[in-house]
Amino acid sequence: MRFLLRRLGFYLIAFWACITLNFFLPRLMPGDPVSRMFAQVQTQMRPDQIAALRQLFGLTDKPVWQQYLDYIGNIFRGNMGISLSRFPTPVSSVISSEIGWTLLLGATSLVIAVVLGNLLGIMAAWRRGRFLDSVFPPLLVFVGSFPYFWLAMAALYLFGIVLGWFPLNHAFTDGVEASWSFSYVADVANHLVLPALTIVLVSIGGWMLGMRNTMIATTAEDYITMARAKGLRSGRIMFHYAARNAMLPSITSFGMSLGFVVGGALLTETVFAYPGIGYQLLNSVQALDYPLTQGIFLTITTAVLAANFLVDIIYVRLDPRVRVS
Amino acid sequence: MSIILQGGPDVSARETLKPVLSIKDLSVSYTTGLGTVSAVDGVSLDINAGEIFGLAGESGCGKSTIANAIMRLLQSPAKVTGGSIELNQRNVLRLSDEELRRTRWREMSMVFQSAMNAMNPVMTIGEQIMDVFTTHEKMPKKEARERAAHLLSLVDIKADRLKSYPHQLSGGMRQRVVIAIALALNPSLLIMDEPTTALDVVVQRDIMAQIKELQQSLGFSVLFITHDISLMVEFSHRMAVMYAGRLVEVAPSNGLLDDPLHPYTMALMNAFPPLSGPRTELLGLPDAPPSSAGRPSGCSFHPRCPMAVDSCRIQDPVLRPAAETHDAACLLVPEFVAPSERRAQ
Repeated sequence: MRFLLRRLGFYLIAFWACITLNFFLPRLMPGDPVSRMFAQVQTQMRPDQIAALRQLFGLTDKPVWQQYLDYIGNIFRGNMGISLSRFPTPVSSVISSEIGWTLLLGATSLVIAVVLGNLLGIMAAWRRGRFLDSVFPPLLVFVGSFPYFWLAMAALYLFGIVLGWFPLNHAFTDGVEASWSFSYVADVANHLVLPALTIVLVSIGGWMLGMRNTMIATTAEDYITMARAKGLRSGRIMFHYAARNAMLPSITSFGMSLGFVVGGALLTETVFAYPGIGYQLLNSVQALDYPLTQGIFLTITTAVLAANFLVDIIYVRLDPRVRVS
Repeated sequence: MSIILQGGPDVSARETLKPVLSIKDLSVSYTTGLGTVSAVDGVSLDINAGEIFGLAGESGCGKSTIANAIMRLLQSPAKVTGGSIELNQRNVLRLSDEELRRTRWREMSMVFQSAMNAMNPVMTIGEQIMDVFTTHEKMPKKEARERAAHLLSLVDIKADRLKSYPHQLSGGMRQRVVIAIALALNPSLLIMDEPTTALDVVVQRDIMAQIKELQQSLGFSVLFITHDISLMVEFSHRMAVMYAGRLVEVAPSNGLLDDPLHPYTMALMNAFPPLSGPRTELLGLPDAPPSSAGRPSGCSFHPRCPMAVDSCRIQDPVLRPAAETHDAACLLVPEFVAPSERRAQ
């Protein structure tokens, strides 16, 4: 418990560092959002309009420390400003309208890739040199080394256009009302298959290889030999003794990836015209939409920190040794 | 059936009973890129019920290979190339995988070299004891937990330690837990592969004394492997000295201590200081043992032997009786002949 509290303290400090950087970085850049809007509408704005806009965006001539305090206060109230490119929608609503889809796609494909990849790695290492071990790793590495957009478009062409099994784009059929009905969920799942499948295909090889390698190192440990000498069943040794230890590094990578899921999958979103944060982030950077960019960055960093904390909690459950260190 | 032996070996009992473990002509070799290397070369030995049998020798002489061969834990590239290992009159080498799994721990168990690594770091001690019962005896968890607590009490560890993880115990405690696990199913043979090498001398003696006590009350046989010959003489009834994959001398421990016959045994005796008694000068052996790939001609020990004569370079000595219960493999030791009562071997 003390360990977790210490970790929590660390993450709070890291979070504070993030929002501070997030506050200062744009202020170190030349110009401000209003002068940019002003430039866009090409001097068709009156000074009082400019003043009103400046106030709306919270651009004041207050001292920096006061701006900083206001900023932090706003963040804790969930107020991240107003998007410029989608004026006057607040940044928080832009993000919240997209983040559900991003989480759905990212978490689904990540969990499938991690679970399947690790299981394959465990079995390949356990029957080292046999069929699974000799065929799958090279095959998956081969698939994984295709350029992602090429693989995605090939899948789209084959399964979407030629075979017509899956829809070509979007997260659900246009005009369908969102609800918890079976038909809506099935529709969403149907739209999810191709984007998720392609992500799983390119990432599963890494999970499998990583697990296979740690697993092979683990099977050389004395406690595996002792478990075998104890006359335990092969399945129990494989999962409770070998995999239980070999999965620890995998859990760490899973946590890292989980945090970055929130950053969205830009290429997937582009190829499948799937709504999500990745595409939004690209847009906001291109449109110099500072508040939105900042908001998305803040969301990503928060997610990474939260995911790491989650992994710490899981780790304490899985590895008794970290409880003392 | 168990026989409680006190102090020395009971020779008469030994000859009337079938041995618990009978190894005949066992050979193990390792296949490497450079060819086949022999690690164990035609070793035969019997361990009787209730006997503590010591196996001594330098690192790399094949002691642990024999232990792993008995448990059938040898991993590629090691391979048994000949001979038989009979445990309670069944050849271990011929068991099917499932028979082997059932035989392991129930009839033979093993205490590994380092208790530090022999336990799963992410499972509690209790779980690691209990899974022996739940697997082999289909015991419900509650009963298994009671049995586990009882086992720990045998090695003087409190039952509340069942919930501890291996890293929370001291080295000595950990080794005692490993011993407790090894005794879980009351096996007829306990193999101990350098069980106390990683511990300090005081803890070492404590643990060995505890094992001897348990052995006397439970009656299992022990194959005790160590390079610490003085510890072995103290705790085993009979012992064998191994050199370069072969047994060079087999005798009751007292006999071996008082009257070592093979020059290598003499050298080993001189290499360890007695814990008590007058200071004596330690004599080391020159050079290293032969690498198994390049075995010398004749007696493998002749290049390091201070007593070697010309014929040692040519003739390969076999293990033969040198006294009634004492075998040696040395050309300089005359063969014991007693036609009236010759032990059949």
